[in-house]
Amino acid sequence: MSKVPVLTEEQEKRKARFREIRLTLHILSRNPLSLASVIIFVFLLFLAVFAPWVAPYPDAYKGIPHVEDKYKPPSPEHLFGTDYLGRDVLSLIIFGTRLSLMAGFTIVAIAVAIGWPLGVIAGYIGGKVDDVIMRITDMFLAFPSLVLALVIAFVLGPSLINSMIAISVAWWPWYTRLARADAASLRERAFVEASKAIGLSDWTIMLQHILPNTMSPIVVQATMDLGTAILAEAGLSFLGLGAQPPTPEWGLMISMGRAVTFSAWWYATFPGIFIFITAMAFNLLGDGLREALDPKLRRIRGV
Amino acid sequence: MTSPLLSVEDLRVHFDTYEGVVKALDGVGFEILDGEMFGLVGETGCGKTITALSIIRLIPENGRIIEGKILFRTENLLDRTEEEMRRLRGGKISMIFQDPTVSLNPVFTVGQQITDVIAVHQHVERKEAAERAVEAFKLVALADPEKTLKLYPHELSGGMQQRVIIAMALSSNPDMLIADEPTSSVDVTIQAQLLKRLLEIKSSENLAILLITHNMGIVAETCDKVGVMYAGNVVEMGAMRGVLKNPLHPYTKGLLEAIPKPQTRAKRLPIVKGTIPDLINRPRGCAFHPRCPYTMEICRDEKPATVEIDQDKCVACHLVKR
Amino acid sequence: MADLRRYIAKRLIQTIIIILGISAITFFLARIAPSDPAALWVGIHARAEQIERARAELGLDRPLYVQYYIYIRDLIGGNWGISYRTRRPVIEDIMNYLPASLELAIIGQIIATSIGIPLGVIAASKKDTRIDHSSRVLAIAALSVPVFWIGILLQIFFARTLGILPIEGRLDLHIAMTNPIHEITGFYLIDSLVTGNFVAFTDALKHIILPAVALAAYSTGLSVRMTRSTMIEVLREKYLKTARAFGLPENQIRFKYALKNAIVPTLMVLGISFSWSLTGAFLVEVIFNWPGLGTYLWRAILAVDYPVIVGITIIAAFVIVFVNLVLDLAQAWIDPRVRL
Repeated sequence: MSKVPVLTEEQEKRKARFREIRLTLHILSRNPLSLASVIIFVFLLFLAVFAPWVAPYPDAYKGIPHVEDKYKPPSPEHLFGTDYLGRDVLSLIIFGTRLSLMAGFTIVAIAVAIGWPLGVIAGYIGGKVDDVIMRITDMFLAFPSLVLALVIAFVLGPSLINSMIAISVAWWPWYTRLARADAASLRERAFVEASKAIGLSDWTIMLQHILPNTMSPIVVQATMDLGTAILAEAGLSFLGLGAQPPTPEWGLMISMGRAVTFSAWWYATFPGIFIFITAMAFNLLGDGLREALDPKLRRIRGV
Repeated sequence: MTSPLLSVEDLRVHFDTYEGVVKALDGVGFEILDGEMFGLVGETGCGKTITALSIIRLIPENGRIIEGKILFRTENLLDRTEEEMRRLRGGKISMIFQDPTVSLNPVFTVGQQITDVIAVHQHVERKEAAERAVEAFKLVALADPEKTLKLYPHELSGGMQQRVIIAMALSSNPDMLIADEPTSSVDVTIQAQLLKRLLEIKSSENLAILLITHNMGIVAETCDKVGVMYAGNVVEMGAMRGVLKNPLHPYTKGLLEAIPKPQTRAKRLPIVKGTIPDLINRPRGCAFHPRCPYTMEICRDEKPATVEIDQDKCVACHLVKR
Repeated sequence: MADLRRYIAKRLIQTIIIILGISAITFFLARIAPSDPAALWVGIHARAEQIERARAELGLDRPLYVQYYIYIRDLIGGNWGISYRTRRPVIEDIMNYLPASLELAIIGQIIATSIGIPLGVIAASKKDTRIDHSSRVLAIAALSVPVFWIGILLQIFFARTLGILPIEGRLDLHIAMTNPIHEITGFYLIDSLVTGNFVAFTDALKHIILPAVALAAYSTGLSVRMTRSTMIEVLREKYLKTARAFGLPENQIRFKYALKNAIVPTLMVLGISFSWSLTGAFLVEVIFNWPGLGTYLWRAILAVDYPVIVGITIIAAFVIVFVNLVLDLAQAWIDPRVRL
């Protein structure tokens, strides 16, 4: 009799999943762009977490005006200049990192939390339920997303949190569509029939089998959306429907900087650079992830 | 003795992949005569499709033909230019693939597609090509050929699509047809019909066919000669009847035993245990030795050379050298 | 072609349902907002009974489903309400401002498509080479730039520093008076060209460049990425391998077969890209003081002008739905599988 230890099905699955993750990370790390984006992300995270210690003027975000320092151009004391209240723009931007990162993750998290399960339900159950869910999804998707977010933010009242909710509500349909397509094709697979044959309920099948298997495109989309979420949130704040002054939100700062574009150009310029870098990092990461997870690319990869 | 139509000698093909260099073909050699049906059989991953693709030089981009000769009549195909190869493909040598439902372009009618092929190879105007297309459809026994020309691929059943593809392949009267698992994607009744039709065409047109499959049963029923492949090598080759009656290589024996026969009343089908070896780090000796029930010391260290038993038979196994 | 006609009919019905759904959502959103429309309508210095009278006039005291019915009825009939701010019929205002936004979005889309799609095709055929990688990075950069920020930067650089292009607006006030454009379509570029008004044409062109470029950045990035991936998918398809196995020349495979296969997904790319163009146009208008729906919406939000907000949301959705319908029908005409 063989002495090879027999692993339970659960352990087998876990082992397989670890191998998948390790291979993905390995491929990801080979791509210099993805590597760079991870580094940038870690750097931004660092800024966000340690803002009070990193920022040269930690109490800038408290909104205490130093009116005499109003609109000073970049100098050694104020690398990015000062704003209309005399606050150090660099410090404001560093504190703004917290808001942007939080906004990005929250928006995507909510949109995924709503859209993904809905899509799985629609795809797996099919029939009338599928029709209804997809009709609603199509209706939401027919709106230009920014306009929809605008209106919702307007309806809820301008604030950072409301703008985040507005964007999530405008975005969940994308995940529903993504998940539904996957779930619908998974439904036809043999293991679903097998699971039903041994008596698993539909909900159990959906939760334990369909949901995890639709994860891959969702994760890729979510990562790419992180960048877009930050852009969208900055956009709404720029229009005055998001964060309100004196919050150091990047989009808001650009909006306030617009009034003095030609006299105090630094106020509108630097926050934008940070938005760009942050969005770029997430987009690069999402793109790298997509290439790494593409099953066809893995088998035949040129050295 | 007539010179063979196709002669493959010591073909070695490597692939560059993420995990390393895959040595897919490690010295493949066999011969096909005019009008002969040759079955190349082996399990998934043994390199039979790569062999076929190498003949018409359509291997994937990360593949390289390292060594070997592919002689079509007397010319070495590996020396030909790409343009010469292009004229050969669909002209003198045609290849058809496994899944007909993805082999036809969905946004063109089948008529347009076959007419394109005929126009390219026979240098005729489209109208003339359309007439020849109808002839080709009749050859593969497609009902109502004129009407079928106007249909889109998705409007045809899998079996009909495969017939269209065969018609396209045979439209320019090739000397050899390479069929890569032509029946694996269709159901058994269609399978039987297609094979029957292919055999009829083979005798009426004196067409040589290289049939690639993992199904030893089909090979046993239809082929004149058989070549058994394992992990990038031809381990046994010979006339069909001879190999059936007296298989020399343990792998061949295993494959034959695995064919379900009506007389068998055993409870379980015998299988060849184990899996194919790592093609990146090939084992030193015989590639089959980990799974071989008759393995000896020498099998681990030395790769067996191909030994010619008589005119038609050869085998690569240490058992036979003795 | 009977199945094509069937498909068209099916899509039209779907579109109508979607439009109804959109108007329902918009109606609902407008009604649940906190402020009191009646008070807004009458103005700040209104007395209580004036507000009450306004409420009755505006039909806000009727039950919700009645309001919705009146709303739909008016919508179809072309009565989209009166703007609280401009006191003009909303539909009239929208028709005035729509051409400006469309012109901007279309020019931006043309720039994006003429750069994006060819670049995507090249990147796909030269996959994994330097060209491919650099175009990918550029495309992602284009997708990461906040459209409102790039607009401001363009203003600073070209208008302020270099002084060669105007900062904002659609036409120079001076030129609008001396060489007024005779409005036919509302698209300044077309109208001025058609009436031979080259002075105005040049000026309109100068004014539209910066906002269109700012707008095009995002769409270009999108177009490059999506075209690249669809082309890669197409080039990878098994039926192209079959075509090669049958000895068809590479030119024929690329330009006759692969191209037709790629058109359908490319149209989808266009649809999505245009949707973003329209969205971005709103942001760009605010920065460049472009007299389009974006600015109109912007002012409406500041003034809590409900009818306008509702009206613009609907018209924006209409445009997107219409564009998508046209693109879908084009796809169905080319690819018979779509009609199933």
